[in-house]
Amino acid sequence: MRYFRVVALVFGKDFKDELRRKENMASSFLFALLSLVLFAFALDPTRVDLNQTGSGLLWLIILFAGSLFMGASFRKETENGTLFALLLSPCDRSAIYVGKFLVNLVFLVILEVLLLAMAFVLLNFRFQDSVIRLAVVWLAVTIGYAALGTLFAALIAQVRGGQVIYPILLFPILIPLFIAAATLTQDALSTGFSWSNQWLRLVGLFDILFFTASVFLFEYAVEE
Amino acid sequence: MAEIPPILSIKGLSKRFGHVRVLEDVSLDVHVGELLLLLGPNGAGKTTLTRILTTLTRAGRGTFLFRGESVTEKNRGALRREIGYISHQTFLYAHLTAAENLSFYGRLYGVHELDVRIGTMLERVGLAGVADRQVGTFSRGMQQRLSLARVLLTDPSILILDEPYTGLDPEGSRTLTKLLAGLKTESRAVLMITHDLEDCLEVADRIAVLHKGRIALDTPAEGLTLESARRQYFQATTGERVS
Repeated sequence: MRYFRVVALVFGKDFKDELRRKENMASSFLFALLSLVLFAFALDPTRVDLNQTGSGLLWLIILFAGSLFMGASFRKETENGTLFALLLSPCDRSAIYVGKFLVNLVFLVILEVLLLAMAFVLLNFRFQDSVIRLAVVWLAVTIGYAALGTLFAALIAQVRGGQVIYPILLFPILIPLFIAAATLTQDALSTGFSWSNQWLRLVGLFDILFFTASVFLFEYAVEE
Repeated sequence: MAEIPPILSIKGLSKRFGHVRVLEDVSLDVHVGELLLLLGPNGAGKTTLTRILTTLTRAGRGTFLFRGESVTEKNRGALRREIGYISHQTFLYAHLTAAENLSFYGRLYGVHELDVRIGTMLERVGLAGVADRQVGTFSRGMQQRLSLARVLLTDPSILILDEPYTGLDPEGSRTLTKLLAGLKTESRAVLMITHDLEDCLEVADRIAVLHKGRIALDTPAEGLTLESARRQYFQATTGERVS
């Protein structure tokens, strides 16, 4: 019970902090919006079927915008040494990780909902499959992304120039997840897909594997 | 003081990072009711020793006892609960208010009757009037006082202060010294790590000097003047006698 209280405490503190400091959220949202507008102008809808290629572009934007936000989730804890204070507290350290993971997950979901809504307008997306199926896919991919993104953010927090190496370390491991995400989104926007789709199973496996591993590895990631 | 068993005790402690020897055969006892001043030049190993004492870094060799028991994976949590740590960094969230900061840390440590305790602590450090102001708007001195309230909130039996005077103006230093003097009367041990003898000699009970990873001096502070303490420090760190 105390474990979940610490999770809720870290989540509440971080959420409030993010809403007040605004800089991480604003930069990510702005980057995502600008990228989408640029893509909308750069791609000619009479020559390119955006319903086919647009899903890949969307996930590319989410990858970069998400890393902007998540990369700062532990780095900001080093500004006044609060990471040190968190590690010094007598709570289970993985609860700190889970609290941070949830903040990143909520942020990514908000970003994706806004981005998807804008994509329907700017990229002229047409919907073929069920909304629920698309939502499940996007949530599953986002869980995997947030799990790994939060762990790597903790890893680089105390490293000088960590924000530079963050995407270099993170992106290669995310390749299978994002290929699956783009493929499934593309299917959802065209022919549809079944629940037994192999890409969907890959996403599920990725989530279970990397979330579990991250919870256990967090203690070592933050230790010297 | 010697009859009281130490709350923290390290014996023959060594630590290396790769080929670099940071601490070598360090032995030090910290007793309840005393303020131990740990001095040393840059690179002496003070930060590493602090990280070991706060359980954030594992010792390489030697014994580390807390209340007479060896510190292991199992009781590290219990030790963390008993430690209050203040450094030149404030450990405060700039975008949260003073009360929100204390509330967060209080809940993290499971402090009972938290609201009452927060009020008492803010009163004690003279910040009750600015409880609802964001910490980012505070002066350095106010932040350091709130930092002290943060650790006292959990009522730790070991207080470790790592360069707490850094960045404080003379008025802020005087206020902090007054607050620290008050802590000694309570049943807790205080370990202060600093470069600056001037601010803290008057409140110290014992002085230890760490030099090149070894304890070069461990002596009672009673009877020491600022000048004689400086002389001893100089002698311990250079090996030269000063008349």
